[in-house]
Amino acid sequence: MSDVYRKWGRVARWEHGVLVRAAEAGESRETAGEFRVEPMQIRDAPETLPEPDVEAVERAAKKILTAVEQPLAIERLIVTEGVSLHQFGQVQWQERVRRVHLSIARRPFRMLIDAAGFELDGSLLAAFAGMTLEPGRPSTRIILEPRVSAAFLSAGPGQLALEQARGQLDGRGQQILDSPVSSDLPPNWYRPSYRVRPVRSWFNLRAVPHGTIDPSIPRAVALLSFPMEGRIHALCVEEEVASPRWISAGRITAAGPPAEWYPYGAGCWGADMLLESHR
Amino acid sequence: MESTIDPLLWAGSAAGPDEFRIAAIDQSWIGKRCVASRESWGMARQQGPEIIASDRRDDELVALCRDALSSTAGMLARAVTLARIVCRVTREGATVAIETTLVLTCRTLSVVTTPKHWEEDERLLQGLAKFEPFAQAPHNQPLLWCHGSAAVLLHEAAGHAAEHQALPAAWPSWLRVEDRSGCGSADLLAGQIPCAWRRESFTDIPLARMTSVLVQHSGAPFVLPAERLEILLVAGGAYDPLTDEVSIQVAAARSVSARGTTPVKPFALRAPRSLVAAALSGASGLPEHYPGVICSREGQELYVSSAAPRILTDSLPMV
Repeated sequence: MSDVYRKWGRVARWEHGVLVRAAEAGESRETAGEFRVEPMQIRDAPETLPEPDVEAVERAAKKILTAVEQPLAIERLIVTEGVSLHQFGQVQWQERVRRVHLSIARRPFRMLIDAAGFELDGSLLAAFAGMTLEPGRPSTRIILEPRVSAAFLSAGPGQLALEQARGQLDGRGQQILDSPVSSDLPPNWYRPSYRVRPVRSWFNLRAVPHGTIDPSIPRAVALLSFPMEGRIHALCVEEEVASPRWISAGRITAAGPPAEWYPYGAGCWGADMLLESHR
Repeated sequence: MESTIDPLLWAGSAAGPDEFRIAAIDQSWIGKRCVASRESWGMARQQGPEIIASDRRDDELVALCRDALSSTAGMLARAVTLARIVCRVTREGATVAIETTLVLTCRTLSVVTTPKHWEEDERLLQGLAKFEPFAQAPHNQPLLWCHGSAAVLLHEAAGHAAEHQALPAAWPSWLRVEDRSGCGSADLLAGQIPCAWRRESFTDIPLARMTSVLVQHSGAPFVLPAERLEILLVAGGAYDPLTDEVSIQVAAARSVSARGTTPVKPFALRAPRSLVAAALSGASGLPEHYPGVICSREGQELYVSSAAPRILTDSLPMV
């Protein structure tokens, strides 16, 4: 039995002041437990593949470069638009995605921003620039804003009712449907590249909305490092004062409606979430 | 809309200094069975601040790459710990480079090596994997960096710091750390940036990256402390340019004392670079080959060969 997947892709990527325009195609197949990947020719695509919007990529990069001013500095900025044509068996589909990966430095801190669009929230820059360098006072209850809660979901939020939200097609051309997340095997397959063996994964994770959130408590508005080992390092705002805080991830006790999709793994929906943190 | 990137328009020209071509095969192995094989090829041409990249094939490189893989067949038959083999053939200007690296894995330990060194590295790996460490590594003990492992510490503390143009540290005068490549030699302790511009693939941007880290010493004898922690294998390391801190994940080590020698569990060290420089207290012997380093920066993984003498440092903070 052989499962053949083919992909033709074009990408415009702005990185370190260099614009990379790449075109490549490849196929992967699994035969008797062996995963094989070979290149193909982009010119052999079965249908015309549109160009990524190079000007939009450059414009977005320049806009972000201009927006970040001292005392902040850009440590890393990658702006990407990719268009791809996928084929798995008889199913063929196209996709156009945008990504921004931004790391902004304010020694000794860095603020991490990952987004699926080119717009940068200027309030984050203002909060980071005005942040006190001393850690904020500990708080057992904190609101995770969408860009923080999405990363928290992708890192494994512990006991929290989660759903898969419907989306396009997965790495095997199957529809991604609304579904509660359970301990069963996920129905869909995640294939971030034709070079990577697909794995079962939940897509477009979101927390089931529940409970109420008191808007007056401190808010974690951006990541200062990616959540790991049950801890979140975040830029927090309390009574209009921004400070860095380590948050021991406890339990999400309330979640608002999904607000924005973030490109963590096979996708996570961020929402305002109330985190009851361990001291 | 029709494509405005037509690889046929440019790929037929000879490889100039701004052109990069690659063919690569990356295979994953479990036991004696290949479970994944990935072949790729492509070209990139830089025009000012723009790189045009395409999966256009250079037949000569593809043939050389397949030959390089074939030439490892005898080794593949004999190696018992092989987990991955990567053959890369690149052409930049008139220079064609062939690089074959292997990842050997035994229980929880792994090393990166080359066809030249794989046998000695496999012996080292199997020897280290024999012991099941139960003891925690003791704190506050001097560290003896064995088997060339100090090259990893200095790869992070001197090499990456130089790449990021960090402020100079007070390195001991007996120490020399160089990065060597076909493009020249860089004195990493003096903050010189590696001479070679390297990239993982044709869709990546080239960066000044280390190629071969060589640590040397002159006149730095030390008295071996009776109680010490000997570092035998390093799993990874990092340098954070914002905090100027170095972190090292030690995969295999042993505690030595009057009571004997005890393998210890993996542990991590983290220290400001200034503290690493101040902790260097002596060195002995010629540089020993260290099973190499897969250096990951900006998402691009590159093999860096490494060698260092035995180096003694004061204790460094564990995390």
